[in-house]
Amino acid sequence: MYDVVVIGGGPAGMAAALKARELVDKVAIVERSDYLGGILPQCIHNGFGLQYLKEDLTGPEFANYLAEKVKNEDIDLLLGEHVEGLKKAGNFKIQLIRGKIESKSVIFATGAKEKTRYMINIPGDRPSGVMTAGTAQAFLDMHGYLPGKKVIILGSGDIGLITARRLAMEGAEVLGVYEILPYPSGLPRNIVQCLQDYDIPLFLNHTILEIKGKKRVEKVLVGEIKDGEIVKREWVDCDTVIIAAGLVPNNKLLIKMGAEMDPSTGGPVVNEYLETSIKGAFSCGNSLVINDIVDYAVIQGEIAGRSAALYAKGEIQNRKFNCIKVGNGVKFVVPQMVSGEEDVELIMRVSEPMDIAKIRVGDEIKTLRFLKPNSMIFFKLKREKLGDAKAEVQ
Amino acid sequence: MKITMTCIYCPIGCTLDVEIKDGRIIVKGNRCPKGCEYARQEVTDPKRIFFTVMRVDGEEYKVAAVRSVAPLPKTEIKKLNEKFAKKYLNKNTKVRDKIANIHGVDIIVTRI
Ligand SMILES: Cc1cc2nc3c(=O)[nH]c(=O)nc-3n(C[C@H](O)[C@H](O)[C@H](O)COP(=O)(O)OP(=O)(O)OC[C@H]3O[C@@H](n4cnc5c(N)ncnc54)[C@H](O)[C@@H]3O)c2cc1C
Repeated sequence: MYDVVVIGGGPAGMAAALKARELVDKVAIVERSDYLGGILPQCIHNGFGLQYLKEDLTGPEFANYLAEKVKNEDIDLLLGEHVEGLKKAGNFKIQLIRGKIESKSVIFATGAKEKTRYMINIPGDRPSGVMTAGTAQAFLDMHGYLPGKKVIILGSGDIGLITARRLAMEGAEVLGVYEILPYPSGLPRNIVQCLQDYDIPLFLNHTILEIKGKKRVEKVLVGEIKDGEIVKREWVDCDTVIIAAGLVPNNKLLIKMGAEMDPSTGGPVVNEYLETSIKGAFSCGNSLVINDIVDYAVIQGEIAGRSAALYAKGEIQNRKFNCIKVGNGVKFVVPQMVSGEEDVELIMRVSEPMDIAKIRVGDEIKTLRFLKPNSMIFFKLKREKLGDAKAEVQ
Repeated sequence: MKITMTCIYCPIGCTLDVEIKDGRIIVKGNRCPKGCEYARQEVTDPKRIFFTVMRVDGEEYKVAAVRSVAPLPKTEIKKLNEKFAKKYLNKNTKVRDKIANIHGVDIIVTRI
């Protein structure tokens, strides 16, 4: 019988297991690939860990930092193992490929999935050469094969920008990054070091309307969008289309168990212990909410790890939680429920860019500058300031 | 001469106003000392961290990842990439091993 079983051995899952192990004896990580680290080992660029470690590391190095700690602790590693199903009957009964395990609490750290061409509905032929950014990155940086020569990237989030640079670096011709929004989704630093450094054009208010090609991609129809209308169309010759249209939290297991979900984050509804609506089941990292940077995923892992361990020890009291109401200008707030008995740090996103805005949560008002939907806001709230528990932009 | 640039040191990405006057470089808009450092470097000799993958002896579908421990001149990054694409790493190389030195900056293995 385990105290805590963590599903997913990415940065969030590793941080959760390490924290839990400080408080309880029997901890395991179940990871479906045969190594720890999640998505990080394939992100060979620097930019990881500036906040959490005060160091500028590459993805593999950040993963290694946590993996070495995990391996030095008495934590069971079930690698190459997959959770096929789980049930709560007092404890959690977890069905793996090679047998069953049981645990007092579980932490879901299952990361995210990339949106595919079919999830964003790009019509046309179905030739080879259309792939997600993560797949392109794996081809190039895990296996050493350039996935295309004349490339178009859809989506200007950090992942799209970073993939554009990596392909350009290795000699592919990157024709452009196409973004449907009027502003880029990625960080300013990535506009500079990924696009400007490599003379890659960025087309705002643009999207891909159709893909053509018999065996391999031959051309795509790109369109300029104004006020929801297509105002210009143009065929562009290329052999590869990279989809970098965002991530979706991966919560198949939790949904199957009937956990309450938040449509605005794609993750489960949680309280300040990062506990889901299923008592004893916790969530963190990109399966809870898509995080801007790995550092935040790790911090959530630590919170979930501590909470799950306390739950296993029977030390989390039954509390009443208030639902945080999402008001004007706010896209989501995590956690969605708070007890009002402890100070919390809320994570939020605004719905559109704002140069300056007053954000109110309960009785606390903060004036914040240069807000963008793609950068998370951290809002510290003292327990006595919970007030009407509403979050809004004033 | 006045230049506006974005600091790339951290995710905040401060907008920096850089003025070059009588050979002096004045930086405004930075929220931390790194921003000033970055702007001075960027107007005199822009540098970036170099990173790439390398083939490993005897491995067909697996490559190793490497990076420079400090930034290197931006104009040389592409050449370095081509150079490292032709080299093979010894199978016994480990993470953190130094495998080359470019202008006094070590290149280390980050994944193998
Ligand atoms: C291309 C790219 C570039 C990025 N660049 C940066 C950057 O420069 N700086 C930065 O800070 N962050 C960056 N990130 C973000 C960072 O990688 C994520 O924030 C972080 O990986 C999230 O960690 P996680 O543990 O939540 O998820 P993941 O890393 O996705 O890990 C989830 C793990 O769960 C496992 N799993 C899922 N389901 C199951 C199951 N049923 N059973 C067993 N195991 C399962 C998966 O195999 C995986 O190992 C980047 C991400 C990408 C994709």
